[in-house]
Amino acid sequence: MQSYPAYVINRILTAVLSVFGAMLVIVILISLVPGDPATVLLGPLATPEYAQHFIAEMGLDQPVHVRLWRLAAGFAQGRLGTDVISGQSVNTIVAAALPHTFALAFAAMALACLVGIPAGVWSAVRKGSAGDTAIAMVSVVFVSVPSFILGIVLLVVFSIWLDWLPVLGLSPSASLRDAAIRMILPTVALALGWIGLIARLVRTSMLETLGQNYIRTARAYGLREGLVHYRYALKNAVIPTLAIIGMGFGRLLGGAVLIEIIFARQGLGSILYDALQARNFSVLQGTVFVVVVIFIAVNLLTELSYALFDPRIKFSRR
Amino acid sequence: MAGPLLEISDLRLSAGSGKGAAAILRGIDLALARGRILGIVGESGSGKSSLVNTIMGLTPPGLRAEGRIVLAGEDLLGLSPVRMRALRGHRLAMIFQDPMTALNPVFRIGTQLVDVIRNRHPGTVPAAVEAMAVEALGRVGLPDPGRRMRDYPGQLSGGMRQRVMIAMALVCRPELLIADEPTTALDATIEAQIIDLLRRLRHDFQGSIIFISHNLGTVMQLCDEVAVLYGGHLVESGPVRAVLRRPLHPYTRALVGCEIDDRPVDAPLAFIPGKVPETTERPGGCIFADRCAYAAAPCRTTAPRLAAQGDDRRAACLRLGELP
Ligand SMILES: Nc1ncnc2c1ncn2[C@@H]1O[C@H](COP(=O)(O)OP(=O)(O)O)[C@@H](O)[C@H]1O
Ligand SMILES: [Mg+2]
Repeated sequence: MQSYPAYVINRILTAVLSVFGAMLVIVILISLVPGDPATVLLGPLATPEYAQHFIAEMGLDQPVHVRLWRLAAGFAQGRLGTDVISGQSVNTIVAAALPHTFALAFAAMALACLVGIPAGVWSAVRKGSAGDTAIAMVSVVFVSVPSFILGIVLLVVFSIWLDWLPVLGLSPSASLRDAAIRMILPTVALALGWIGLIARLVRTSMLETLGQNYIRTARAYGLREGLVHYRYALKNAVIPTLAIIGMGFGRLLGGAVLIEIIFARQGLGSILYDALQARNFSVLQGTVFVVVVIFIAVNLLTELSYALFDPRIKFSRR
Repeated sequence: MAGPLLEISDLRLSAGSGKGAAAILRGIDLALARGRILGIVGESGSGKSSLVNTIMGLTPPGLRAEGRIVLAGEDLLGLSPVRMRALRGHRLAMIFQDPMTALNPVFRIGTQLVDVIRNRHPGTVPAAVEAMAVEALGRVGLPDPGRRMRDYPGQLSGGMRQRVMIAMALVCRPELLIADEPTTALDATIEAQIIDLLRRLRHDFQGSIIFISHNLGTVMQLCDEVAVLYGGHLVESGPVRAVLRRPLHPYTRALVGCEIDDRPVDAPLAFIPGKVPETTERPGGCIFADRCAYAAAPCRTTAPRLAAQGDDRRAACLRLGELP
């Protein structure tokens, strides 16, 4: 059996390898993207010399392994590159956008857990009741409709028809209150699918847990049903969902990117979207790298904390 | 208080209705005096667990219990779920068969014990609760109980977990402690240790115990009385020595294997040809007739009643007087 430190080292090495593999994929994909960036960016009227200079500036004239090496060397030193168009450092661009995307993703995940977990427990405890059926149906809708469509629906209903909430965006000068109000719709749009998913997962997992012998033990000792459900059963039931929620965080970031585009919010989404539109690969690769690192780091943290959280995953003790 | 602690009369437990209805308990009459230990024996599927789960009010939903289970003057079957829950962990406590799954794997054993104590003795200050938990773990023979409090069940062996379960039951100071095959899942040496522990604890434990076991030798060592269950019927009961040394009912005889003189009484239940009746069967006569070596024509048409045999024994068999 592995010790916990050995397990941690093992997982970290795997994660580093994954980051490296992802970079390789980014570079290869960029070399395969149709459309000559010089032409797209500079327009068809640019002189061939200038286009040539531009390609060299982006490093696109080098073979893949050289580009990969340069990229890796830069990334390893924490340099994400320079935006060839604006001359800004990609670090600056990403750093400005990151908090917005994170705020959206975390708010959505928090909302999803806050609503999804109790909904799942409630359904499991009242299995077969009308409430359980209603939650099941709503969950299916939430899970199966993509978040950007939910986003558009919410936008139309709450901002345009009812005019309750502001339509779009995040004005840079906005007060905190204004920013919070503008967060509501995107957060809800992003969270709904996760509420449905978490409610389903927790319900299934709770039902299995409630049939376990240790739940019978808790009841045999007269513990209150609330304690049995929300303490003794829930912790067991949530552990398997925890991993899925953690793994899903990457997908959530992906969803956040789309939602940002729909709601015209600042964030990684708008950066990626603009960069892709412009074939601005210098920004694209740096930003994608950051997203990949976040994704892999979140998964790594999930695995490591999962192992700590669940005492059943045993490690040899010294 | 005079009278038995527990008095069960005509207890029936059934599931479903119509043709496929299952009769799990078919009219049990049983009494248990204060401070006594009652052993319950019988093959797998004879209804032992169902009986004690019904006493605890822990039968799965969909099962119907009828009759009376009177604990110190109070009919448990008539109680609301809330009242029933208030009895569990106070006047009733239970130890289960499988110690590997009976404790919650993701909570420290100290936490689980403390929750039970807090429920049993509300208002006790945390330090005192903690002290009670440590003391109970020490009493059941867990080495270094203070440190063990912080262990998860997965860090303990099966025998140690069963000791924790026993500690949990003891801190409740129940009037009735139920142990459903507490040693069946353990290997023989550990089983002996647990039985030894129960025997020692018996002295300072004031309440009554119902002890279900597959091992007649263990029942003989530990219990005062024994009740033999078969196919949801109580077929024989009485003082443990008398019943197991000189069984009356053919089923008990077969269990003890007394036809074979050299069979040690300490052996697990003897093999009896045939199998336990299905809960869906409704024989017109004796439930054991199909497998009984002594069955005669009336046994297949008339159901025997549990009748007194002398001062303190009872058996349900039509042919008791004619048996060799
Ligand atoms: N929830 C239930 N629904 C239907 N039948 C059940 C249920 N629980 C137990 N039984 C049946 O009742 C009989 C007695 O089971 P049990 O009480 O577990 O016996 P024992 O503990 O003596 O082995 C078995 O035939 C079993 O299949
Ligand atoms: Mg059983």
